[in-house]
Amino acid sequence: MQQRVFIFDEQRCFGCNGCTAACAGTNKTPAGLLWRTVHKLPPEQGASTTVYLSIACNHCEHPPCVEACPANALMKRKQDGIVIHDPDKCIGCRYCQMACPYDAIKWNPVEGLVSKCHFCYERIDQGLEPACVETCFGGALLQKVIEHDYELDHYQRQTIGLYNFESVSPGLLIIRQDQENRPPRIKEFPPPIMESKQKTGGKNEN
Amino acid sequence: MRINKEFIHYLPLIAFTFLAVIATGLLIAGTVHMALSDSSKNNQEALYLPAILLIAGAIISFLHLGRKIRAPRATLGLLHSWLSREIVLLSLTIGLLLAFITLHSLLTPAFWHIYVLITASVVALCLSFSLGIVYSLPGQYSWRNLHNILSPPATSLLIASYLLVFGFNLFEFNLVFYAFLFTDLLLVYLRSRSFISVSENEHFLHFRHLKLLTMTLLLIRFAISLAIFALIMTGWTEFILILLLGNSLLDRFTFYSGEVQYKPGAQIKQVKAERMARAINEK
Repeated sequence: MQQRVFIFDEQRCFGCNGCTAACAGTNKTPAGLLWRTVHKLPPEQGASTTVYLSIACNHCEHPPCVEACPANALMKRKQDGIVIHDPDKCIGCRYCQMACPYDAIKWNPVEGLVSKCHFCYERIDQGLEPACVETCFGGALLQKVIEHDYELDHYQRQTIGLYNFESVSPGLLIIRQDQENRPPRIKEFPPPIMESKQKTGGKNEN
Repeated sequence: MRINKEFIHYLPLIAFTFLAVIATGLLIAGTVHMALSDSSKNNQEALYLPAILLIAGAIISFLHLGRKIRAPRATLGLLHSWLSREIVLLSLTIGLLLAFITLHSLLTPAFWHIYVLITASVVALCLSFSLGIVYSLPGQYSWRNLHNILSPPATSLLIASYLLVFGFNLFEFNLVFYAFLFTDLLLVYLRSRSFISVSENEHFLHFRHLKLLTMTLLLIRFAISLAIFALIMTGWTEFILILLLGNSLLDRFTFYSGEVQYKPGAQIKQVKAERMARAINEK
């Protein structure tokens, strides 16, 4: 199993939409067409924290869009499982849009084609991070390649706004806001907002 | 109630599936009639209409593509895509039907010609099934069930049985027609029950502004099916075909306008509404 996934930390995201802007700017998507969306969920009464969810294409393990596409315009890369759309093969039938459970595929009425997040695969191939991951200075959005099942420990596959269709297996791993057992940090970032509020004296590994 | 701008994209699909379902019914009826009655060159004129409807449907569905020039690419996904299979089945049906009409017109009618027509009818029935299966997709909450898959072939067989019993007077007993009519009523009831119970906040209706219209049309559809049954019981069979055709169009319209998807935006909207309702109640 070799699957490149996005990791989203609900405890770190504060809804700046930097990821959305970086994606649109790097991929030069037309005005009004956003591959990445940040959803906002107001807190429960009595709670203090708003929860955000940044979601684009989940590059599913069993992508329904690839299976649905009649023109073979969508393909899943063997080396890392990124799902890529080829606009030169697309016929604009929008069947993949109906198939995608995550609203990841967007219609461009000017071109008469669909388009979607491609994990910035050209940047990945150069050893760079996707634009959204690189831009996220809060450390909420990360990416890594999952090679073994045990690497999925400590992550959730489902949250409010992301339903885990098991026949699909979305490649988006979540660290939930109320999760205590956090996974090891992949990258060094400033401490999360919750911890800085507590103003602890000692080192805090997570 | 107003038509959602996005819904206009579905209008060619509504037209295509409506024409394909009607054509399949006409083709099956024509095939059975030709197979059981005395062979005659005049009989094949009954097959011109399904051929025209299928070709018109194909042209209309071609028009909804964003890149029409690349339309032949739609057959490349045969191994994994139900849409590719649907297109191939449509092409085969049209091809076999035209082949039969050509053979029957140019050559002396022979016994083996009917097998071409029978094959065309079987392929057309498979096409009718594929019209339902193609929308059985993950995340399609309202489409992914048996009553939506069976609806197009059930409608085709209902039309075919009506023509055979009341049109061609081939069968004397109405039991076959009643069986298909009952099946149609049952499927509409099951679809109505699952759709009407969906609240706006629970799941995301793809075309929110059409919810009330869709519910109304489903009820009208159910009422028309009951009316057809009443008309047969009273012996007024002349207008039933028009009601069947109207019902078929309503069926397709309500199918597409009743799309419900459990997308991220919808789930968050649902939770937001629940929290808001709780906050208001607690005040």
